[in-house]
Amino acid sequence: MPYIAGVDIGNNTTEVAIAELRPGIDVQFVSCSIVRTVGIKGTLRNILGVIDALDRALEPLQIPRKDLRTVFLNEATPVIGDVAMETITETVITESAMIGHNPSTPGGLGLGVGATVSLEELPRASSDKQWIVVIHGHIEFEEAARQLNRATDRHLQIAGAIAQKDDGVLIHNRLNSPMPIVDEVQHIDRIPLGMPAAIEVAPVGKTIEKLSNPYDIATLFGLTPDETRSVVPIARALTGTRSAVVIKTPSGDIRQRRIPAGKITIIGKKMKAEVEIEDGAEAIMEKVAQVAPLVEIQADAGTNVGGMIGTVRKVMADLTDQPVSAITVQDILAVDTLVPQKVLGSLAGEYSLGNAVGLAAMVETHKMPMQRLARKLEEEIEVPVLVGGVEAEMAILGALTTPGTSPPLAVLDLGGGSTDASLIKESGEIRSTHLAGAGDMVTLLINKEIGLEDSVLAEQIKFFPLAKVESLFNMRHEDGSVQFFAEPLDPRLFGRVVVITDNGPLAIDTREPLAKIVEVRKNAKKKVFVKNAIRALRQVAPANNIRLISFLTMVGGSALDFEIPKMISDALIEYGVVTGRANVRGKEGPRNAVATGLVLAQAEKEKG
Amino acid sequence: MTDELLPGNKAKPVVRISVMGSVPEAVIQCICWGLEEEGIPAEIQKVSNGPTLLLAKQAADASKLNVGICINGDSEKIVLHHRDLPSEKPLFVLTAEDFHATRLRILGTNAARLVKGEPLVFEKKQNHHDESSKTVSPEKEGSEKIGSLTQEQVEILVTRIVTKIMDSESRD
Repeated sequence: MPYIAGVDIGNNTTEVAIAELRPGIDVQFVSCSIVRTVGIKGTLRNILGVIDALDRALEPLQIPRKDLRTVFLNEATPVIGDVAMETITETVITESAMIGHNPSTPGGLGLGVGATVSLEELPRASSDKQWIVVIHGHIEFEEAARQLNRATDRHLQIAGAIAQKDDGVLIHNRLNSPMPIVDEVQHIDRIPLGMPAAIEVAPVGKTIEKLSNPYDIATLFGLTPDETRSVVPIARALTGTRSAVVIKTPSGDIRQRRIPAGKITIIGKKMKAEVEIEDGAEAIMEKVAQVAPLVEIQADAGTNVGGMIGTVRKVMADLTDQPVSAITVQDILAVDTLVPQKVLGSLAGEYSLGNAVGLAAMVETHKMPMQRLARKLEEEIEVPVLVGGVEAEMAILGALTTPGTSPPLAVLDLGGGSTDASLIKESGEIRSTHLAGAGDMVTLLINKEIGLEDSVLAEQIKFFPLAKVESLFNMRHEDGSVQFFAEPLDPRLFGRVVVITDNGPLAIDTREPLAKIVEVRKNAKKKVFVKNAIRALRQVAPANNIRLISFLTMVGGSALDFEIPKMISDALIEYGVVTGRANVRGKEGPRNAVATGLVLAQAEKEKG
Repeated sequence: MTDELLPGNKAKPVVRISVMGSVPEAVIQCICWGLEEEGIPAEIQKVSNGPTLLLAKQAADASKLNVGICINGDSEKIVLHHRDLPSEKPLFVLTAEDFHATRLRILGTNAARLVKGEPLVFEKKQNHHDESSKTVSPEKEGSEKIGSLTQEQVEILVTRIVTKIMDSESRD
């Protein structure tokens, strides 16, 4: 039987290449397939995916599985990555309060300053000072307006109102004298009464001007320089909103608190360094570069980083039947990010952007779980299964089938869990490296920065372009083009930003504008893939100089992304590297490189 | 009746609301409040008989803002329509059981948001126990209906069940 199969089990996908191999004739590729990897790479559950992929590739050939002569598995370097997010700052409001949000329709306009008073207490309020009225949700807007009018009729000075329900405009339209009204304040019962407060509503299309400026707040409340310093976080959190309320309480202040995020210890072959997570991604990566090549990374137990690195170690230990102590962290990628965080003590569910560091870690073990997998697979399919060459070398062999390439050639494998680079010299010598951080890290960043709390949706946002549904029949894509539909679109999509998935448009439940989401997506890809591409290439390049690489091909799932290859090409232009997506065997694109390489390696062996 | 609905006769940009038969004032008001909070003007007009879908479509066609609503007091049905949609495919249809203050106001909100091109509001699945969701129009008792079945269908069902029971008993 002349057929052999190469099987590449990746973090996300399992790929198969089937070829006919007869003595004296060049190897002929006859079929290939791709399926989603079942279970964590290296575990026995992978077999389900392998069998599925084999069957799919064999189906068009009408060959039964057992007619295969041999199946070759990739000798994967068992690296698994995990990602975590560590928040550094947090805005906490203590003893004072603020409201700053974008209710879709606040009432009235302008700025008002006065003491807070509930609507029920209004009839007993004195007429010698300004008031800001707090209207609870159980009061109908008509009643609220009537009460407010009655109060102004008896010359009570009302500077503004805060309402719990979405009826600011309705109340305002029924008032005899206009005033700013902030509505949709969920936790209205938390507003302290009898305290000085300032309220501001900006006109449509504008944002508040006074309450987002610490000196204006100081002017309104007569603050001392020290007190002014303490309102800076309030002003910052209120910037860019359409309406806001600031309430001053006697000893109140809002603070931006730095959370002790823990530190990591980076141990290299020659030296060792410690770095605090809160120093930010740049400081961490600088240390990583100084200490490289890395041997091990440790983190404080009881911190978020510690927990994350511990989990990765444990998973890898279980996977390879080794003690946890035998597992080392080989690489980390740290990325600075801003994540929306709930402001503690806020009254309307406000978010403020907090600094955070995203971390991807990778652990390595030298004991391969692939042999065990191969034995089990052999039992299942009754075909000899062998563990073929090293993944990085196979990827190079596969990538070299791209028309127009020749050694020396570098290959960037852009996967889900790791970014790998390898370089083959004219002599045939191969260098390779595996770095933490790839597609999964991008998904995490998108998920956190937009505040989706839905990683499936974040994954979709990563993969597909966006559009804005402008009417019942058309949407405008992110590139500005307009698409019309014969049938009306789902009303749930109306006016929303959607991801154009393979299964049609999917609404993103956020008030962020399309441009913001696009920016987050692009930045996440740059922060992870462009950064890692350069890091990885520097490690494999002759004399660590990327300029000495003349050809680079990109393979792997993320090389199929609609914008990542271009970003990497743009970044590498200055190094004069010919960069492009691989086209394996002149037709598979960046897919199937390792599976193809496995087959080619065997063909070479039999020829020799 | 169609004369006054023709576009151009009234040039004001409004969402048109056509009211047919006797409709409780509260129902109309709730819808209008939804529109008002969003800052979109509406105009109400009485119309004589006709199919609700068509009247809603006509209201939408006559509206400078392309959005129309028909409230049919006789069949207890409210239809929200848009000029670009075919008559038989309205955007939203409310029936008697939807006549809660909350849902009616959401319909008004959505009519306005449709004009503004903003995301529409959909009621959350959980039950609202606040008083705002009380039924506004309890006056009209539904005709002889049990659930969504007509009297006839119920009769057929009952007959079938009874025959089944008698059959099984006779076999014993």
